[in-house]
Amino acid sequence: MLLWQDEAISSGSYVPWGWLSISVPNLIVIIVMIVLFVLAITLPFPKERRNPRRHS
Amino acid sequence: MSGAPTVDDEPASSWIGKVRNRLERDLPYDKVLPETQPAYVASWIYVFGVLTLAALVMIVASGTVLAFEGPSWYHISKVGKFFNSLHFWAVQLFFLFMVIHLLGKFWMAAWRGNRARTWITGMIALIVSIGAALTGYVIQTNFDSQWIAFEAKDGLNAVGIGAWFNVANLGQNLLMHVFLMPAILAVLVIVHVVLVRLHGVVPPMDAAEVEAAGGAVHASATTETTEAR
Repeated sequence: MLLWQDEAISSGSYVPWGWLSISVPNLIVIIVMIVLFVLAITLPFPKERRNPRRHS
Repeated sequence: MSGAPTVDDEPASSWIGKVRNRLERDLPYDKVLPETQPAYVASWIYVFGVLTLAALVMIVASGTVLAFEGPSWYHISKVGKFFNSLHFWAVQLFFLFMVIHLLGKFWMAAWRGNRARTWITGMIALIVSIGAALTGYVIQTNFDSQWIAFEAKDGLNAVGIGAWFNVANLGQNLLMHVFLMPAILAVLVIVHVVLVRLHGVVPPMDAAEVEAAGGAVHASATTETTEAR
């Protein structure tokens, strides 16, 4: 069978964990979401630059 | 525009007048398009709502190009594959941003302060988005779409909607994906954003008393209101 056909019909990589089985791309996306959430609530937000002409 | 517009004191005689009076009273222009936000909005967690909207704009724009050119273009030509990928990755980012937005609002209990309708429209928008994504995966016309359609078929039959929504029906799924789902989602998103403007951005838990005391209720409130807390 041709290589591209092999790739097209492969089921991908899965991480088995007891009764739970999750695909590697899904696991990566979930981890990225959690990391971004933690960063979003911990990293300081840049302070507003005030316009000197407006506030002088 | 400066200050709130004057509201006609006379009661409206028609439903159009009642709607106009309500909008003039509750949603003046400076609440629809505010220039300042309360101080607590200066946090990265408040960015993910607008990021979700930006991803949605990219999805609609790239999807419009795909709809005009058709699958013989986006499956074959290099530019077509680029737009196909643009559409796909914009969807991935849309869901990623939306889930982080959901996590932030859930842990903030964003339904506080008479914001239940904002929360509910957001949740329904999430469910409709999942339907839009499923129909999008099914109309790819490749091995992936075959696999997804015949896995989804069993689930949809199990919950009893397989007779009306048939994932093996390409025409039905195509029309639902390019018109019905985006139309419903557009209405939900508009209502969701209008409700956010109407009730203001939800404050953090420890700033709730500031809002209850009348400070920083609206998006047009000055930053000083919460800087003083």
